[in-house]
Amino acid sequence: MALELKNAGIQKGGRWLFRHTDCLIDTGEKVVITGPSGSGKSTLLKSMLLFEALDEGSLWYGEQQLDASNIASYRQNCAYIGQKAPGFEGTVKQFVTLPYTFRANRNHAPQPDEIRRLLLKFDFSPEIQATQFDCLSGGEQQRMCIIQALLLRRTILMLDEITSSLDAANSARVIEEINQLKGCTVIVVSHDIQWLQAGMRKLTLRDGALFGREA
Amino acid sequence: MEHTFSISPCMLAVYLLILVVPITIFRLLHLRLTRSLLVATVRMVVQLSLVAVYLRVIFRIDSLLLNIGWLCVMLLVANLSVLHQSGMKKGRLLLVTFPAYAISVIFVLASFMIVFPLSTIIHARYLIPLGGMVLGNLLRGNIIGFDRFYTGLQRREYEYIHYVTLGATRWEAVRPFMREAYRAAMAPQIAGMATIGLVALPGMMTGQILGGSTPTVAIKYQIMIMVAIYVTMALSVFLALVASTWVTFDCYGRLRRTFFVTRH
Repeated sequence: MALELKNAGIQKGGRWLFRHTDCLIDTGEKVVITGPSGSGKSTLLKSMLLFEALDEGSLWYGEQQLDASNIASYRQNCAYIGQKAPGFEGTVKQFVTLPYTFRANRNHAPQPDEIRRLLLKFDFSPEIQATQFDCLSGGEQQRMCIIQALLLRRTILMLDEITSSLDAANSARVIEEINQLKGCTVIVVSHDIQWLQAGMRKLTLRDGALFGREA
Repeated sequence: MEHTFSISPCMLAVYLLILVVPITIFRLLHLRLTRSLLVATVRMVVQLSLVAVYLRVIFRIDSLLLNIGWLCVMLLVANLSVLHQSGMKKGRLLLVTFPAYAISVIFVLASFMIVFPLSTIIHARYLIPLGGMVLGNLLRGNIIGFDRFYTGLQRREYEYIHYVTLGATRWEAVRPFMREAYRAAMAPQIAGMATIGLVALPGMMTGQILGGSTPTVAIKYQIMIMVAIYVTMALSVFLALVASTWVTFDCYGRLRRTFFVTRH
């Protein structure tokens, strides 16, 4: 289903970060939101999960306007990954299966084959599952977050500057793997040139307005 | 045992002059703490003098209702102090944290009935100092707990959102932050218990010995109060943090930033 912000606006400290913003993102589409630092890119992304309150306008998922009553079920379609992976004490296997310790997912634990398949897809050896998560590099941890989301069959990935702390080679690998994901809507916030050259639809947030909105 | 030597007020006033040592160091370091130190000292002298007057009255009347009332006042002051020092706004937060602290203190005061008969514990002479010790020590752990918990949630909001989108309930998503805050609040207390008597003589024991008790009596009280303080802290930090999340998050699972005074 498509995700749509209609006439959305958020103000911070008496100033509109963005206003009268319409943004339609189709199923399976890959979009990169860019713009100068402080322009409100991350806020815009979080508003697509309603983790930032809209001061005006609304967020729609398909035909449904999102509010407190249906936000939890909508978020079950999404995965949000920030600049850094969460701190975690335990093995890689425990990390990727962490969501299955949550009550909502307890009965949906993935098959070991599924984990192996995704690890191979992301160029990891299945043996890495026994490694301590905090021994992985930043880039590897970020890719594990993506595996975690794909195991849960999340269909909307929201990635907030996830390559900002990675070197060029690691960034390129993460971008390539994300770009190849089929059937997944991906919304990336970044001003990294590598994302901008990755062939995704580019939206620019500048001076409180979103440009380049046509698909 | 000899009667405790009474310090004369004049000599006590002269004694305060040794504060010139830290003030000199502040000056050398160009550290602007002198004013705060002087204000704190004056507040301490005034507050303790007033307490001495109140306690004399309370001990003389020795009414259970008055004792409970006094404990409630101490509880409220402790609660306000925790919220203020950890940079939180009061209001609705006070409504949920006050019962959390009250439950913790009532539980621990009730536990004293294992060692004291009820008729003893309800006397002002026992209830007020024991309650005061427990409450006074509750402050530090709770300030650390609140500060760590909400600073962590604000600085690493992405982690919280990450967990929520992976299907975590609010409790499941804040649990890593709570674990971290709880560890920070409780670890110094464990370290304190492990080194007590080796590094410093604890205050209650010292006070009792100066007051004329034998060291044997004093250490039994000290062991009991250390355990009581630890349990109160463990219970109060946990209950207050959990209770606070009932009001600090809105119906969308967003942290309400209006609750923070001095966050950056």
